[in-house]
Amino acid sequence: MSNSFDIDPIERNKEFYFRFYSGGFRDIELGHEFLEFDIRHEPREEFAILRYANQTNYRNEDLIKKEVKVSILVLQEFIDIIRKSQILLESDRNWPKVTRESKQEIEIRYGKNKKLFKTKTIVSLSSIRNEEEKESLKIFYYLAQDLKTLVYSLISLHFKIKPFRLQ
Amino acid sequence: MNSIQIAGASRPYTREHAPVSKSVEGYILIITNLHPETTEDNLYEIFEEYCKISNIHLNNDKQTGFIKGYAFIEIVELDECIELFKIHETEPFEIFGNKLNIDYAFVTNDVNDRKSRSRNGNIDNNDRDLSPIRH
Repeated sequence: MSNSFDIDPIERNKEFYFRFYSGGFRDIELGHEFLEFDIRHEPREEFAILRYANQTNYRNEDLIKKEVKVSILVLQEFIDIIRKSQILLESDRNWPKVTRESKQEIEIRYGKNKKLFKTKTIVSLSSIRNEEEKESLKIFYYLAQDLKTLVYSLISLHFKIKPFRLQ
Repeated sequence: MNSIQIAGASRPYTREHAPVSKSVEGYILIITNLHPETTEDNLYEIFEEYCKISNIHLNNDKQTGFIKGYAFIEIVELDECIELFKIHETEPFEIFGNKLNIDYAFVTNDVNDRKSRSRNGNIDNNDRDLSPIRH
């Protein structure tokens, strides 16, 4: 479980799967609120499937779910960001444990290799200042931030209608 | 090979030959291998000769503040995208010495002329299926 492995961004004959989850039961009235996205590439497929889900009960918002097929170059950029973060060398053994109120997960599968990271939500960098494993938590924090921006860009460019266009 | 002529209409394909999907406002292209100091102006400069860019996402690395190395551009006209790829094939675009990788970002399972690849036989199911089993 804690053994590390590397991902070959060019290899397309192995299954690749990445999932990020952040959420929890923070409030009795609001219930379960979370953000989750995952990207999956089946062996030899010429595309990957990106899924995005966001549940917030603020003002009775419904669950937002999006699914879109992305090209291999997008997948390669995804893998590139994951590899360069060096999260694959880390382990969550000494990270703060998840609670019912706050949970974050990163799951990475590549062929038969698999890694799962779990910790409570990192609100800010200063909140992990006193943690024993603050350097590896920082890697987790920045990776989550960078992938979230990538996914937000993809989802908004594909689905969002611009209110008006400047000519 | 980024397009194929079928009965006068040209269909776009990715490098891996997946049919391209049009997004809500146009075609989205992904550009990778960007130099960390690339700006939006650099992108406009090299591409605006061939196409009209209607939107750019150039995201920063949260840790370094430089750009992350990828960008998305939105182009409304398909002809302009095809033109851009033609140029890129003969003479790849470069910014600050970095050779750019460019491709369409979104693809589709074309129901009309491609058989579905999904294992359960569904052609294109937009509903999310169950999350994989957690261990």
